[in-house]
Amino acid sequence: MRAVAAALLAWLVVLPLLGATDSTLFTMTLMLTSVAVAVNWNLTGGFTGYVDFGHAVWFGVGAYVTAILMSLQANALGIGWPPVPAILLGALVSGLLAALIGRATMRLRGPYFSIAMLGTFVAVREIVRTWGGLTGGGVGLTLPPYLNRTLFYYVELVLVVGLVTLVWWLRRSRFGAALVAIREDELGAEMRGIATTRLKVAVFSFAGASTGLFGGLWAYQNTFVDPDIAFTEVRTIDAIMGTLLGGLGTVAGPVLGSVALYWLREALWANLLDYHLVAQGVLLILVVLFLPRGIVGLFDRRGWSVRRLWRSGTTQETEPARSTTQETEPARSPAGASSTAPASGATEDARIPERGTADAADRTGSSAGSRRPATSVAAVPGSPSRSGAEDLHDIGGPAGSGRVRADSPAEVGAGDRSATGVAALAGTGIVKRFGGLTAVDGVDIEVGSGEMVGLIGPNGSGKTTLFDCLSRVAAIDAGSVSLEGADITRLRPHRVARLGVSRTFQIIRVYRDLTVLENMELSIQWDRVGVRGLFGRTDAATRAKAEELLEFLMLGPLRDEPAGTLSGGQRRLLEIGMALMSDPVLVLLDEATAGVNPALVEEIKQRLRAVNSERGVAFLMVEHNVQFVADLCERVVVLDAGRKLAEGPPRQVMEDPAVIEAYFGPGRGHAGAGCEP
Amino acid sequence: MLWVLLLAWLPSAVACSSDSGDPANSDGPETVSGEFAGTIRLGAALSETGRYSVEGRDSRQGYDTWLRWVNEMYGGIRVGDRRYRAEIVYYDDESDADTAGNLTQRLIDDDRVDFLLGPYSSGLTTGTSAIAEANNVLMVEGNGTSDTMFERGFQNLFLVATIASDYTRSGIEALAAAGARSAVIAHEDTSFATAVAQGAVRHLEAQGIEVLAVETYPKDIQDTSAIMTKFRDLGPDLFVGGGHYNDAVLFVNSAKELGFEPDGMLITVGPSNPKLVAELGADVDGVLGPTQWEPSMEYAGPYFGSAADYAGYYESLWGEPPVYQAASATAAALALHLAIEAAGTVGTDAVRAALRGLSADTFYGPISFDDRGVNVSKPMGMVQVQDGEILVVAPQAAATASLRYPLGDGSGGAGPGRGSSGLGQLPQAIVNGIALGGMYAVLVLGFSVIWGVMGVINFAHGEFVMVGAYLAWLGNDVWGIDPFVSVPLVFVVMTAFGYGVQRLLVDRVIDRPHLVSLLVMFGVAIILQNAMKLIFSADFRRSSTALDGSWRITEGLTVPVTKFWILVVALGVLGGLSLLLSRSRLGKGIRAAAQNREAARIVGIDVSKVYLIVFALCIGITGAAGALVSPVLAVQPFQGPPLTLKAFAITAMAGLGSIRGALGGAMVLGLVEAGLAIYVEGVGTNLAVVASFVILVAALVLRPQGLFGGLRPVDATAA
Repeated sequence: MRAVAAALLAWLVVLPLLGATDSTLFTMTLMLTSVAVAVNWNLTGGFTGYVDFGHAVWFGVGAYVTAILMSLQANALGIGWPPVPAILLGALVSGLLAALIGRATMRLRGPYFSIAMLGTFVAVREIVRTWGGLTGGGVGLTLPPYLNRTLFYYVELVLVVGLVTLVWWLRRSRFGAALVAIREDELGAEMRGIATTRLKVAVFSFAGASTGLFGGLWAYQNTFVDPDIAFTEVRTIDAIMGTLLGGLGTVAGPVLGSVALYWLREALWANLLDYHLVAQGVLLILVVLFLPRGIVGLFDRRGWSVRRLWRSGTTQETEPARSTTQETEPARSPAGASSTAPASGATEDARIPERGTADAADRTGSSAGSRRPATSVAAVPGSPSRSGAEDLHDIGGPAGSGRVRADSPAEVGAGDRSATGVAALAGTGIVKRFGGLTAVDGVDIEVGSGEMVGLIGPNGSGKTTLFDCLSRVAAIDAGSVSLEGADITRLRPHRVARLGVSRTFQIIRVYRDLTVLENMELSIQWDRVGVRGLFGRTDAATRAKAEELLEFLMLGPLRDEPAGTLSGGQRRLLEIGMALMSDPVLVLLDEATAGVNPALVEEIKQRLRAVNSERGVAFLMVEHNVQFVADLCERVVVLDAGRKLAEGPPRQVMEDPAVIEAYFGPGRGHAGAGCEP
Repeated sequence: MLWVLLLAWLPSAVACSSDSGDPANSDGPETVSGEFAGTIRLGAALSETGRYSVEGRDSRQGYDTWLRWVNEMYGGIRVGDRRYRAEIVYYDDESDADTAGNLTQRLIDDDRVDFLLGPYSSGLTTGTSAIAEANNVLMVEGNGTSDTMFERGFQNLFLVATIASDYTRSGIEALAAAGARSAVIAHEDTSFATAVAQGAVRHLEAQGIEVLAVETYPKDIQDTSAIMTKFRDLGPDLFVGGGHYNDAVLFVNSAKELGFEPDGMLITVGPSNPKLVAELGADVDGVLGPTQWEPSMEYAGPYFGSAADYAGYYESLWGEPPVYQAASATAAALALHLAIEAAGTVGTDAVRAALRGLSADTFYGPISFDDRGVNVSKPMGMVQVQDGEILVVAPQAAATASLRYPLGDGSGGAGPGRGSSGLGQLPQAIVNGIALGGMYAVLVLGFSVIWGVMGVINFAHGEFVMVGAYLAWLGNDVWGIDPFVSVPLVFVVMTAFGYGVQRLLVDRVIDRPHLVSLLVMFGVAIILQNAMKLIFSADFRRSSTALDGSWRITEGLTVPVTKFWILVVALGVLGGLSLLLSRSRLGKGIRAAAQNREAARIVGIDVSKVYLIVFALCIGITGAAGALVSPVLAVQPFQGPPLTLKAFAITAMAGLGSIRGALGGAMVLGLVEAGLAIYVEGVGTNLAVVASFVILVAALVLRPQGLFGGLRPVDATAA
């Protein structure tokens, strides 16, 4: 493939030397322009999943800025700028405008974003038309005639090759992986520490600047702009059709597709006259229906497939993205939970020494002064100081890289924290309202460092909402949240994630179309990546860590399977693994056992216990499986109707009449107490 | 591998098409070619397809008229003692600027043409002439008249027609002489129409006529009542306006509707076209318009004889009388021909000098070029529709009838409301807005319900309106059925059509994401637009109804009758659908399916059937709405996309699938557009067009759940 590309490039380079006429070069230049626009469109439409119906607006803006600066007609900015600064300034203005508009429109998802961009396109065109003093209005602007088509061709060739190379490299970098994560599950990506807004607006802005650059070049070559030819929907349509034909969300797709489309049109155009436009419509429908992965899909059976984008990817409809939808918990009988066997006293007691060990491990980690996570898991052998649970004694690797997350806001007080058990996470007086409904009503909650806390309550009592408040998915109406003593009430979700709070979700959020290993590699500590790392590829240490964690979670053999093919329980494990990849201080587990078969529940329990004791990771878990909570947690918080009803050791809480009444209704308190909860 | 194949094939495909796209070679008169010393090759990119396909064909027939004449009748181009056969290489530029430029380069490089003839339209001539200039090839043209082209200092571009800014000159001079003292101007904001209007302002002021207002409006405008309301209240002697054939229809209709009766109406495009008289009948009587050329003009020259002789020859070749675009094309080729003969060579510099020095009388009028390359010796003609006939009334040299002025009682458009502004126009703005809102409500309904219930964004919505409108127009044109009568018939036909589209396409993509159905419907839109254009051409059509005219409530307030009845029917349809949704079992099923597809399936609702009914019903309503508005909105293949965008805007503002919302959103948009158009000076109508998109984006970003509630909340923003 590389040889083919090189041969092709060589052919393109020598084309003018082989006696190609100006008109051939002109044709090739127009084709290169359409390739560039399609490649840029694909950055947002294909990789990030934001399907832009107004992308041609950046082409028009670039063209107009260039034309205004170079115009022979007098205007406020003077006349007759040389081409290079005029075109570059055009690209810059396009990029800045894209950043500005992207910040507003990229809040929208799915078709709403598409339509908003279409509206932006038309509005900008009409503004240009109406703003006659600067833009020449409907009359348009003329530029000096241009002569050297060969030079022009080379300039465009170099730019297009540069652009495709850049995109190829971007796609393989963490940046590209993050964009795909945004497409697959934006909220999930945000929760795992990816600064989704910044990244998607950045790539949107880059695409705008790049398309603006080619717009400026086009204006210079065309020597004339008016609103209808500079802002034409056809450029967006061609970009979309070229990308779809070639393969959405691939690097080669838009290039192949645009070239094929151009060639196809020349062929159709010669023979079909007006029918070619009808044929184009038929072609679009056929490609969408029968060739959803495009030309590239015919060659490539695997890789970063976009099948899921077509199945269910881009819409909210199939994604449990909004916190409000999560509030509705699946119907489940509380009686079912209470009918499981009670926590045995022995288990309860056994937790206490374990807690001690966890603290000891924590202290070890801190006193080692290891402020950065171990870069190589293998290089730092684990020192499991844990008693019991022999079956887990061989997981030293992950444990070694474990509780070293000391870059938190309270970093300076790390010593204190481990000694006195300063809360890892504390919420004070949290209030959350949805319209007239107060879902969380002044709850105080605290999770100590390395502690395992359960959060239970009847359906609709506000557990998941409280989770959303703590992880900053939902804005809170009153109260505050702090992490290791530092206030995080106002931070964006990805900032919270970067400070060491990971979570899993009631409705599992894995990137279904990516492999298990890719899922893990995307769940890194994004704040440690830095700009260079963002553009770099996944390093060996991260991969080793991901593989080790997968082994630990019994997912090793599945590492190359798409996550969408895993069973429900396996996906739970994968989510837990993803949560652990960023070396968190605290993991919020939202119903880790829902829909998981009982045998696997036991495994999950053991793994969580091991992680807690060997890495000192604190857990706060929402659970309906009371047995599970009772086995794992030293402390349980009970919510009812948005208020904290009770708090304490599991056994004590279960016998609290108020709790029993909340679960079973008034008047059944005694019976409930008699029955082991 | 495919890379190489595709790219390698491209230049060969290019080469192939340059052979196949050259019918002129085979059309040439082979019988006499033996006598010629050689061939002089000309080239032109012309629009055989796309927006300008009709005018492109006329231009080509004009060039070919000269070609046939010069080779068969005249005996070839005489260069010195030798005769050369003329040849023209044509390409179809698809009415697209990039394509035209590319093809012009191809004509120069690959076909090695000696000279270029112009394409049709100012837009295409601007780009192609720059390429001609850069390659030092002469281009002579007759159908690109915008002034800006000739402000570039080009050496190689020559125009035989009258330049845009002089279009109204002879007409204004004649009207000033007849006593006109004040005028208003409305023009399309395109390059050509703006140049015409700027010229008109200059000529009016030169003649001492006061210009009371200048209004611009966007291309493809569908409603000029706001502009005409403003003008009515200014009470000018003259109305000067135009840009497109359809605008002429709108101006005449809305002036009548609103009771705006100036002493003279000078419309820049349309009056010289017999179609306008056929379409508007007596309403267009007295309207003036410029013309480059008419067969009845008193021009003559040694080539082709008189204008009438030329028209006879043209008709013998093509079976139809020549329009001025064809005559201009013939004249351009003729001017080039004469310059080559005068130069005695095909060398560019010599022929350019000969063009500069040319002074000839022709069937087209006198031709001589100034420094810019513009023919300044031929004045523009002016026609007036008099008792259904199009007669030349100016300039004197070419006139066949005398100017009728003033029209009507000679009082001008001045009513008591003369000069009124501000609140005085509020009632009319509200009436216009409600009328517009009623139309939008019935037009948007189907879109909103399909999206709300099925989650399908019907990107072909405007095209279903268009197909329904064509059906009504066809019934009106062929059988004389009033569009208000054909509404139920169109509903039945379009419901069947919707059923077919749902079964064939939508059903396959309903469970896939929005993007898929969006793109499929987009493909349907492209197919419908171009299929209708192939069947009916891109001409603007309009149904006529018995329910027309207007009710004059007071001097400053009129109610358009057609729009009133549209509003009544719209409210009936909205009410009926609302009852169906809220009261019937089907309605409950629809609402259940809208809220949760899976849950509805589980409780035994046949969701597929619900979708089938909803889609077919909505397409039926949408098509019927198209039929309903066919007397008001021009029927043409490309009327759909702006309607689809308005439907988006209204739905985004109103909330999905909400019938009350659709009505409310449509009324808000109608009132905002009417208010902006009336209250903002100059560019109000342009702003009204932008308004819907500003509302669209603002509504999506600020209030994604809609203003009026809906079948389900719009889940538009990411958390």
